[in-house]
Amino acid sequence: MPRTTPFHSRTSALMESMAWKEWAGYAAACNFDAHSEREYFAIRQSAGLLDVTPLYKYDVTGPDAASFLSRVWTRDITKLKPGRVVYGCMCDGDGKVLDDGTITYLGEDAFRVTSSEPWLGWYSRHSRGMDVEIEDSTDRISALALQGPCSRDILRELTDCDLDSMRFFGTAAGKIAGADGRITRTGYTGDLGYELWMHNADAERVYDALLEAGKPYNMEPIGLDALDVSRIEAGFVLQGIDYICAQRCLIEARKSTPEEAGLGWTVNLDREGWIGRDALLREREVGPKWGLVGLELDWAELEELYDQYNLPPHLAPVACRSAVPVYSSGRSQVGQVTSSTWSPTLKKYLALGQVYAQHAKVGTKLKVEYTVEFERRTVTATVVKRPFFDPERKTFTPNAQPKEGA
Amino acid sequence: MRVVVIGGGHNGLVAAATLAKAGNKVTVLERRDRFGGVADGGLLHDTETLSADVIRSLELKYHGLELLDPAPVFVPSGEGEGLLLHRDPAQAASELGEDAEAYARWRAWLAKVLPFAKGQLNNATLDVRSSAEKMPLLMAGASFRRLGKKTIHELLRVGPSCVDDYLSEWFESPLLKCALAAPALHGTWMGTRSPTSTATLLLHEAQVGKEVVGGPAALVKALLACCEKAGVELKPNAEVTKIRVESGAAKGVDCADGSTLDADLVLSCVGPRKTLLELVSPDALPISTENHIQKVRLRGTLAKVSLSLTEPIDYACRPGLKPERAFLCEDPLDMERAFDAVKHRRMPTVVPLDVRQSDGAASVLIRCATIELEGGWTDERRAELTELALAGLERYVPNIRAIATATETLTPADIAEVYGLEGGHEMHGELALDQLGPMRPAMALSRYATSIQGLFCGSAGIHPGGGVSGRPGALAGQAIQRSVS
Amino acid sequence: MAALGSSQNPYDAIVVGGGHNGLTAAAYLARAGKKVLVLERRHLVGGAAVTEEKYPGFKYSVCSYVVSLLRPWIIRDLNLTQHGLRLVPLECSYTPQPDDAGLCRWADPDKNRREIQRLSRKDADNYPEFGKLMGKLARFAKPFIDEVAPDPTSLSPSDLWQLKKAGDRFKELGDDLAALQFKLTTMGGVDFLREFFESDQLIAPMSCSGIIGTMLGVNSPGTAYVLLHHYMGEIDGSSRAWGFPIGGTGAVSEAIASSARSFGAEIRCEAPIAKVRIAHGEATGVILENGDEIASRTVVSGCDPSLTFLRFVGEEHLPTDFATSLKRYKDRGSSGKVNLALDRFPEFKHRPGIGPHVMGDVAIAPSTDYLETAYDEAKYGTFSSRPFINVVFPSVLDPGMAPPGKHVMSCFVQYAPYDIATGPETWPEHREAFGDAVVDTLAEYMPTLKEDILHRQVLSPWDIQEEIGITEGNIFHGELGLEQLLFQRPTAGWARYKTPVRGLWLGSSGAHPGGGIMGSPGAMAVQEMLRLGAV
Repeated sequence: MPRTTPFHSRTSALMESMAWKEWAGYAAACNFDAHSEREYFAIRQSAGLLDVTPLYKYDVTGPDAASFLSRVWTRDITKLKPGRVVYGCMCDGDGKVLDDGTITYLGEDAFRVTSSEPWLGWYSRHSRGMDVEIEDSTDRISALALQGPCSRDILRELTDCDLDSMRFFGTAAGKIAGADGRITRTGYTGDLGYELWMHNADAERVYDALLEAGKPYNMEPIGLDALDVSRIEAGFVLQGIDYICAQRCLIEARKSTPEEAGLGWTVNLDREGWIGRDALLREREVGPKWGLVGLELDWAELEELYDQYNLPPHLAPVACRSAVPVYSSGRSQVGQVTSSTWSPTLKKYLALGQVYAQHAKVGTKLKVEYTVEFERRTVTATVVKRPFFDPERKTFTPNAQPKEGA
Repeated sequence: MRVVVIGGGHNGLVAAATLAKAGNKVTVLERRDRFGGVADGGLLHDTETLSADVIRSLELKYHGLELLDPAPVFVPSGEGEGLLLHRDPAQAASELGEDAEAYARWRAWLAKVLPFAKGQLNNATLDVRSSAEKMPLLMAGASFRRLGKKTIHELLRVGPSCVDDYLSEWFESPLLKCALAAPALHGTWMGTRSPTSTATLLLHEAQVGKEVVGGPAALVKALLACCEKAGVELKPNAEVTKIRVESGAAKGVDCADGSTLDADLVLSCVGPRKTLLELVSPDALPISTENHIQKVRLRGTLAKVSLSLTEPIDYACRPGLKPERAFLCEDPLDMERAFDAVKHRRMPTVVPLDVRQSDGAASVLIRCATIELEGGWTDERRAELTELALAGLERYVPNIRAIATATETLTPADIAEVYGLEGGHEMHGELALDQLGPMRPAMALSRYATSIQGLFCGSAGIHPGGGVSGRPGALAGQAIQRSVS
Repeated sequence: MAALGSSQNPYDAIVVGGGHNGLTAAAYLARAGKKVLVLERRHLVGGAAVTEEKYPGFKYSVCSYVVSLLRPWIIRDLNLTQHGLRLVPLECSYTPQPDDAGLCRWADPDKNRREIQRLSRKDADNYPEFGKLMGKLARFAKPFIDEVAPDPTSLSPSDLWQLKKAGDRFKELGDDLAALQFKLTTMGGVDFLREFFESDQLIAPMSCSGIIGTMLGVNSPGTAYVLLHHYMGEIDGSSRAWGFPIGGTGAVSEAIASSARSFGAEIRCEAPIAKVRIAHGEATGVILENGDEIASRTVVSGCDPSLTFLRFVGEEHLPTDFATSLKRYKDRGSSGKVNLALDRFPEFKHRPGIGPHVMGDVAIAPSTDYLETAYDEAKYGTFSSRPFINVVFPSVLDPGMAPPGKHVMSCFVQYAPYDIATGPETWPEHREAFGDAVVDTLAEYMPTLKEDILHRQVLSPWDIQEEIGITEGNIFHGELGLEQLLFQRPTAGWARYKTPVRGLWLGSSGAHPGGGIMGSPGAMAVQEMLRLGAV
């Protein structure tokens, strides 16, 4: 019995497939049409509009807000500049990843943090002695993701924010379709895109305006299925799928350190005073056990496999989230693929997975289990660099101001 | 080694003297203008749990400490003559009537059982994982086994039970049960019907030894003399606001007056919770330590009424006795009723009183005044407390209002403030099974060292806890000495 | 009088008392090919787990009311599902408040989260984390309830081996969990829960599980550990370890009895025994109240320890130490039961309707102070004027329990101390006042309740003792306190079902692992008998 988001009156009117699923207690669209192909191509060719309200949102304010976030998150928020957003992860005391998300600079001593799990309990436990206020704004703030090459053009007509000079991971507060809101140049698709944050009361108005402005560009409302394909292309890990929040794990083996979850780049071990650092310093000595890798499956082999059964290659229309074993060339299991998908843009079969660190080097050949006609077979897969798909437009800024001090 | 000791309570002084005698340069920083902590001014008026090891190793007798057997406790009664309870069964026999034989048997049983507990209390807790301590661990195990199957079974049966049930298995007289049960509740958040209160009774019994002539004041005097002799620098009016931690190691302390002090080692005797949560900056503390220490329970229940007397308190049921110590409560269930008030955050209505008089003054301890009082402690509430003490005394001492003047009443909130005790708790942490031994104050913190290098804790908040015993201070001093050498 | 059961072919075992544990023991014995006779005092089997039609058309689960931890291996071993056992998981745990909608704790984590969020967002966050931690500890503790309890003072290899295994498991937990496990075993329920939660409205109903069957309050040390039982089921974060048996708890007993019969056990009702027959320190059979003697090689008691030893055996046949510790055994009946037949469903003031919120248990536990006050009254010898009540509506889950449209309501009430100040035998004088207190309390939440009552059955601990036979009316056969658990249940050194009387075995809730409809004591007693070749 999930709740509905403030956009529900609009999204449900557009929904034809009745494919809702539960996301953090809210009803969220999987795809609006019978399948998600059109939505996927909207993301890559024009623009897609996605309701991301169910993300957990916390507004953190007060003189110690930055130092508090710097303690709880792996990023040094005291260095986060006005107009910027940063992506990072959060660890428990043993250095195991709890969650990942973004932190947006809202104003002096004010930040908005997003995450996939609720953390108010954790935050309040670790804000002792700090002058900081933490508000769970999940139910108060509605959010939309507008993603795709035309997103800037669509949005430009509706806002007074200077989008042409807003850099990748930039943010600005301003009017969106006449309503007070905030735009961040972020997203989960690896494409040019924005996320829009507004009060619940303005949600429907903004949605309507976007639909209208998007028409000339063939913008589509999109659901989570299309998003899933594009996030794998972008090489983004998903909490609960590619790694599991340490607090939700019953056994140690299921937990991952940032390095093991592919989030090592968000961690600066030289910085002191954040939760998990001590344990991760110890990990640095011995090296991580696992590595998160991007894999490309050998298409010729796949085709050949199907050929043996006189079948054309059958590609699921959605990303696959059930884990399958990965073997070394020596046939011993060395890890598992956690998400995989056919990439309609790259025309490749892509996968994300965790393998023992010694097998995680780019170029390593591995075997991934693949089932054809109920028989388990393996297909060669090569470790490749992530992201798989990385268009220039993702980071290109038309009127980029030279960086301060540059 | 330069050692800074934070807090000049009795444990701080014991630790300082221990360390100075071992050749360290020791400075004691005390927030108040006087030393002694809860022993000063007789906030706790009994010294019978003072550690014999401390007396010996600090040669306190040489510094003027005189000892004698603990004074008997008088429990007055409304009807009858009351009960004067000596620890020695032979002396007590005439008072006890039918219970005399059981009392002798009980004391004999304790004499058999308690040496084991004493051994644990006089030493640091053992680390189950450390291989270096396999031997002492095995020895402790063996000496436990030596108690015999029957005794162990008995201990495991009675330990978790409540002191009222337990004492009722042995004794008939409610007065006797009251006298014995009273110390079982010191520093706890329990009543006589609370399970595990028998364990704290045994814990108390294991600590009792001799008493200091002149009470806590005399002890503090002797400790100060000992410290001076050993070359300890004693600094009153020096409130520490911060322990400086640099790359995981304690480097010194900052004081309220802006001065700073460098040190190789810092020993904090102000309570482990306060030390780690208030004096150490949060980012220097590993979160598992923080999680554990934050959960330490220290809900104070102690209040004190000081009386000045024109003549000694003489209980009507036994005129002329004028006992030094008395415990005013006739029914173990009244102690439970008193705890009910604590539990429900109310002013107590039934108030057992722990009275000690000497030299024209009396100290009356109330152990059922909760720091969590609904509505908070106000001046009116303080006055009520004074009245409760006087009214309680008046039941047995009709002329009390004529001979006594209340000079000072300390509510738990006052105690928290005056003595700098978090939660107003005289032991920096409740005595409870999960806050004792290796769990005092919390897992992995019971051995005086903390997760911060060079920072040690050594107050009653840490193993083995207790009132005016000096054990935690001495053991902390020894632990530091071991880590140095 | 000639002995029944001819001396050529006596019974291998007689089971005294046809409660669910006695029946389980009989079924296991028969399953092992032994000749077994169960003797039950009453006209029906089940003991405290019986369903009776006390008012035409309305069936009451007279004493017990839910199935907590009926062991899955017993269900499988005895084919209980084939013998008619059907368990429905409880959907929800509802705690109404007098002035607002109260709290429903649901099996569904997201639904649950939304409920708790109304009280505290932090608590809503911490609840699943708490569930995970409890799940981990439950994995640690589970072997203890499914194995014979080791005696820490024993030097026997099996005890030492078990202790070593437990020690290893404890070490594997690591510092944080080990500390938590220790706290869980020794702390009071409320104190323990406060380490995780701030909302009293959440803590109160959670803390209740620790006081059921004890004469302790939610603040009393040692009451936290029962929380773990909720997490011993396979489903985490929910209270689904509790189930309601279709047909009432009597149906569980019936299923076990049917299984026992199918293995060849003989069950005789209305056969009260007077004594366990003892010759040369050995149990050789039983003597019935009518004077008949029945011989058997062994006797298994499904009755509580006090009844078994102090009445059926007699002190003269017991070692002094054992007799002393049994006399010190705390039976301490502390709960009563009120069963109501209702003309219609008595809707809750702030959550009307017959929805999923009443398809589980309803706990009248509005605050921890409320619960503690209820305990305070009992401590000084009166029943709680505003008691803790655990309500189940069997007819909502199983329409067969009442005529169509009508309902039965089963109220487990605490505290009703057996040792009431005026003496336990005066309970009949207080019975109706006690019933009124319960109904008055419930009416504060269900305004129409009083008008809807067609019939009321009130059982004080005294009544349970008189009717069912359990000493002091404690349906758990003795307080579930720390000092009466594991190797100390019923008394140290005698927790392995064997007794000082040769040939007499204890297989009731008064033996490890204790009370509730688990079946383990009966089953494990027999396993131990078979292992030692005693039968």
